[in-house]
Amino acid sequence: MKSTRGQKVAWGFLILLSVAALLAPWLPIADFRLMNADARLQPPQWTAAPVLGTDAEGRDLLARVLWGARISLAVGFFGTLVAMLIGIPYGALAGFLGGRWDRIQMRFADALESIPMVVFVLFLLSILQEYRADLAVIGFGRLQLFFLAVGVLFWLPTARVARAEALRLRKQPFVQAAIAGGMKRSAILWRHILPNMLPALRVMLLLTVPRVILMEAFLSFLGLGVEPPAVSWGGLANDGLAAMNPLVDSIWLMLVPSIALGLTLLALQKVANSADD
Amino acid sequence: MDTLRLYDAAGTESAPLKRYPLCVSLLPQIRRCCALACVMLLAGFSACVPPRAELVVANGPDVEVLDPQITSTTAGGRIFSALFEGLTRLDPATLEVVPGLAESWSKEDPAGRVWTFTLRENLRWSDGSHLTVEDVRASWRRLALPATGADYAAWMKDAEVLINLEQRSVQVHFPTPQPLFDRMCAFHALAPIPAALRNAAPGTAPSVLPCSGPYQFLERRIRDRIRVTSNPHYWRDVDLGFESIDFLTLDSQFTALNLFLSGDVWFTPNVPDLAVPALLREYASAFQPQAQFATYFLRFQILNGPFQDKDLRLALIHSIDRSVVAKNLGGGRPAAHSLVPPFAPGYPEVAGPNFDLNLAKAALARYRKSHPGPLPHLEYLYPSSDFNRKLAEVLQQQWSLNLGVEVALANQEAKTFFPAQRGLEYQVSHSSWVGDYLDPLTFLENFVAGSGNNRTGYANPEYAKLLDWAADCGDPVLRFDLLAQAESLLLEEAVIVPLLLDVGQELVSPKLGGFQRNASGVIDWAALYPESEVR
Amino acid sequence: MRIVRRLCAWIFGILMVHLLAFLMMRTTRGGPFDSARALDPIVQRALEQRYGLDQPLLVQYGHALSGLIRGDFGPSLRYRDTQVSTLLADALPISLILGGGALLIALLIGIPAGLYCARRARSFDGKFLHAGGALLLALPNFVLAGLLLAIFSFQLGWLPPAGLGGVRNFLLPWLCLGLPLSAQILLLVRSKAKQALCSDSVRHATAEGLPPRIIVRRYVLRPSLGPVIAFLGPASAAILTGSLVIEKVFALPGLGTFFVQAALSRDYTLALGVTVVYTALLGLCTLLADLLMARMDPRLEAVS
Repeated sequence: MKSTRGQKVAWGFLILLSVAALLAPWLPIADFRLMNADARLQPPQWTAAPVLGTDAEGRDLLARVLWGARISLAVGFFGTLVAMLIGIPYGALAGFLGGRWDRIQMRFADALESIPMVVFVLFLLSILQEYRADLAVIGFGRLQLFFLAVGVLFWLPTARVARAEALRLRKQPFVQAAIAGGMKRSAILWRHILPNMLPALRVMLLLTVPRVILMEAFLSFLGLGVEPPAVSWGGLANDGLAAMNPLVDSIWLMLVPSIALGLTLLALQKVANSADD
Repeated sequence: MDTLRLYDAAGTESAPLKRYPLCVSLLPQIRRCCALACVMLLAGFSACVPPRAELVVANGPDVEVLDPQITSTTAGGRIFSALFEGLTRLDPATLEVVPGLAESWSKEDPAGRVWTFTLRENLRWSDGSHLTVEDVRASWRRLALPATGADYAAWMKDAEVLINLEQRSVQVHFPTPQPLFDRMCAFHALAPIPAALRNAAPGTAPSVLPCSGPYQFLERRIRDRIRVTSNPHYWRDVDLGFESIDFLTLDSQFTALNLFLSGDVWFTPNVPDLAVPALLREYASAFQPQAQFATYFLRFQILNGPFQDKDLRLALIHSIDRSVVAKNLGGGRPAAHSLVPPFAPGYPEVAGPNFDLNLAKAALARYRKSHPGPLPHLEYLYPSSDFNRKLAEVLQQQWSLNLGVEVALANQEAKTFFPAQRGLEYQVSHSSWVGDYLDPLTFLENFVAGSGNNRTGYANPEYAKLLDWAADCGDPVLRFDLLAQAESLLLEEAVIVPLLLDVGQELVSPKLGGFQRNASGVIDWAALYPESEVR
Repeated sequence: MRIVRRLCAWIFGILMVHLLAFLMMRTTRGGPFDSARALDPIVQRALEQRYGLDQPLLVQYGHALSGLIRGDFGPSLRYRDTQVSTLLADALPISLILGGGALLIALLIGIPAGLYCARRARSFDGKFLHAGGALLLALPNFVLAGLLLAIFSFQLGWLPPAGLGGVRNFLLPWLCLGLPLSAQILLLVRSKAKQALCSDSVRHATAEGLPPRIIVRRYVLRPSLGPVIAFLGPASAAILTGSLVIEKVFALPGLGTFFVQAALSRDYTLALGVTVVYTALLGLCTLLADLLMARMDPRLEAVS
């Protein structure tokens, strides 16, 4: 697999971003929560502080974008992880067992897929809110609930890919031989099917992460995003967009998180396309 | 669907044509479909595009039910004040009670248990039918009926209404004293409503809505606008400045601001806080913020949870620097030091809690001594909105910086927040209250034990007694004294913490004449006129 | 026969969604009558009785189902004096105009741009368009909305920033919804057209001296339309979802904003109504797209 220069740049950008996001608490940047009424709505100075400007409450935008990266990337990663953890077993089972199981599972999946997403999201978040106290005992905060909710929204495409792969692999001679040889079905699944699904799943993972990040931005837009003081790119972009008006100049509030979002998604797309070869 | 293979197999010019006879014929069809779609789009516009009214105002969120007894939002109030007149009115300049549909009224007993109103002669609805005391009685009866589902049903509960048709008089007998009933009559919930609305089947609106105000209802497009036109049968002999008014539904303050700046609307009731400095600089004639009879405060839940202990409450309360909160929030909202805004003339000043870090730290130390170990998880609950979120973040920062205590923030949509608050499922929460009428009682009566608006678990018989005495006494000075004592008691108990006063942020275009700002947002629609007119 | 089967699946889908949405709405917390001012408990009970919210869940579902069949969803629980069907009838034309216009723009821009991009794939123009398309896809559509608003509405003042009105009010929303889709169509057409341009028939036709315009129209355009039509199904889904955001930004009272509002304010009847209409629309679009595809390429019937 030859990587072009574009893909190398994309990988580099993603790695740099992730490292910066991880190290954000220790970097020499302003406190992203600190409100400063005297420094409201300052445009970006690029070479002096505030590098990327401040928002309507005087909070430094560079710090907020970096901390937002933590949340957005975490949502992308953990959400996709949840989606995979649910989708892969479901799809692999459906594809491998085939027949009636497959039909039942897929009908159920189809029914779920036709539910409009907003209702589903509200339902999920509400349910998780109900059991908030119980979950808090095991250290499951609202943010983790959010990861779970977002992940659950995306398990279907993963399940479909897993199912398609399992169907394909089931017809392969080595699997047929294993079945004929009397190997236990669970063993076949674990030793033969799943490892061979990995390439397709890898592509699926890289394609799902940007979708999850976009979904978080969409939910922030509807008002269902992460709780303050946590910030995410979607929330920042949404705030910036809502605050646009011809009277007060504040366009960087929308542009900066949007560019961050756009660049990250572009990089992820590039990387995903490379894995597709 | 790989068409490429077929091409390769073919290799001659005519073969692809033969393989795709349908493709050939589809292209003109597709073109025709596009043309049809364009025609449909243009036709659809005629169904959607409404022509302009003479005055277009932004009215904030949608009015959900066009019934003055059921809807009690500020947005609804603005429309109802144009459509339905009450027995009395409030003068926009002085907020005094002036005659409306009633030409005179009197309090039969000093405590205000019996009131008599005399309606004007020859009053009519906008469709020409007579407006009589029958309408008044029927409307008030309907308000009290549980089946109506009115927010203010309690105002007319157990009240007896007697009418006299020839003398055009209405007499109301209340079981408990109502010294301010004449002022309450100016509120749209007590305005007489027409029979068509009273008898409307549930789930339907009357096709024609007769009105008694300066304007009558014409048309309503949900989430877009409500249009009203002038009422020829309005009792006041005034020349209306505008023939028609459009009340636009706009959920976003920024959108309203943008439409104001582009000249599409001439009035918007509030502006985004971050635009306030620029508006004060560049639109000073249009934007003159005025403090309102409304307070933002905190509620502590004291029945269970960590805030049962008064020390912890005091620690949090005394570490809030209201001036910093007001400054960080922007929007020009002044700090509030008492629950009741300083508006009712003659009401003594009540001193609420102040910012004192020593007191706060001492209280925290006391709490720590009686509850050794780490602090419990503290959570501040607020209903989702941009302003509430900002306020929550500022408070969180205050507590973290000044006291070193981390309070987590939790938000819920309004529909989940209020049941949670009512069910006492919170620790400390955001609260606000807009006075229904210009009197301290509208704030204080909420915190009696058993009131649905209490939502704190506060139950103090002494407080209730003070309010009862105030209700019974006829002397207004003594009454205010008793109410002030009740308020001091409430604030001392550290259950309610006043934070900020609300500010009227109306933007009024210089093209709109006759607009009068006041502390309750009362608008006299009949007094408005376009500034270009020579008067 | 096939059409009948698809129609049955469509109806079944609607019923399924109706049931699931009903269950979901009723199990989430908060009723439609909760607000800041406390309602007298008697009043609250009377309201719940009137709307049948106090009856067992199964009975309520029965009512909802019979209403669905009649096309009557009852009164909205939030706009209590208006029927849900009236609300939907008011909102549907706006969403259709928005979606239809966006789709038209997507097709009218995407297909020619894709063809152009394929023909000039190696030149700067082609690469620029391709990168532009990829960039458009990477941005959430509300970002695009912000950019277009800033330029066309605030800076230049050509178009109104929000509200319902004439064609001017719809131009920006159409662009915001349609441009990302056109980018996707561009990419689809480009990849297919590139393949077609390398094919033997095109080389043969060029050798024969046919003018390039006719070559493109006959040998490149038609195969490129295939993936586009296949994309129409997911495109309508994307339009319906994207309209949630665009309608909110531009204050257009269409179905999308109803969706979110109804769910957030626990307006059960309206939420059910909007869900059903949404699902029906989506199913219809997918059905039409599939039928169109089947007509274009009859081999698909055998394959699926």
